[in-house]
Amino acid sequence: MLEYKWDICIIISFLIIALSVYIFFQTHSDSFINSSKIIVLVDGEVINSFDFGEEGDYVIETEYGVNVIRIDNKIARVINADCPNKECMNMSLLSDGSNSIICIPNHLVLKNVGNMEGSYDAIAY
Amino acid sequence: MMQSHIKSINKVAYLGVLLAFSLILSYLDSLLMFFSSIPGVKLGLANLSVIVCLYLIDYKYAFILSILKAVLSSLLFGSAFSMIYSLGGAFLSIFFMIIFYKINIIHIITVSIIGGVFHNIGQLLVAIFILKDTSILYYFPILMISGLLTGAILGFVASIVNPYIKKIISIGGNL
Repeated sequence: MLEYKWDICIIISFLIIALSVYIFFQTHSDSFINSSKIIVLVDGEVINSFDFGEEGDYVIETEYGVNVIRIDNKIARVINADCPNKECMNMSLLSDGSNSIICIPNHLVLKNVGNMEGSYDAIAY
Repeated sequence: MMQSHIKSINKVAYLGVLLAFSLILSYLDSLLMFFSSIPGVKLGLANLSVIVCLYLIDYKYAFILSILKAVLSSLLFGSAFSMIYSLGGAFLSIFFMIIFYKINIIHIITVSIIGGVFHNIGQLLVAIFILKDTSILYYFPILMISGLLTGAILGFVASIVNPYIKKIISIGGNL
């Protein structure tokens, strides 16, 4: 047994490193999700971006119309819009999802980009 | 003088055989990847020929074999992009395997484990460098454990087959 002491040391140290990194990510995963961002696209061009941490209301005014988005508790949603159907007000954007908010009359797309490790791409029912 | 010439010719010939062997194993590996449900995790069978080369021929030849294996197998079964990952993994893996082989305090199985783990770490570092996103480190524990397991399996196989290959090599003259 003693002739393998270095082998055992190396294997155990690998296991400890792997375990500690795993535990670190389990306990600190919140700060990684917070780093995901919302980008605001009009006609496919990025005109603004927000952090999910920046809570508050933001007015996005373009030549097509006005939308007001609210970021609250890691969820972004459109709370006011001057488009006819108000379809965008029924959508919401989660910090750990990969969905998007689309307002066709105002040519507006809100997208979640950034860190999506360990979250879902899509859920099928 | 003449004797050393013949020896190095012998070594080059065995290097070629082992390279061909490692490419066959890489192909087998790409077929077996079907069985692993975690993306990026594979057996790394081709490392077997590198370990055989390291223990039975020469560490310099093992280094050459490892780099050539990475380049050729990604040309044949991967893409130019996967070559960067393979090279990063192969370089770090063979570097640490040679160091621990030279220190000569650990068993062949542990050298193989070190090779497997550092191959994965090298690929992860390349991925972080290319994607500029440290969140890939999420993958680190899985890759480390898988490198440990596959390395242990390959090291075990290598410890069994090495005496037989040594016998074959010694027929053609000592290296």
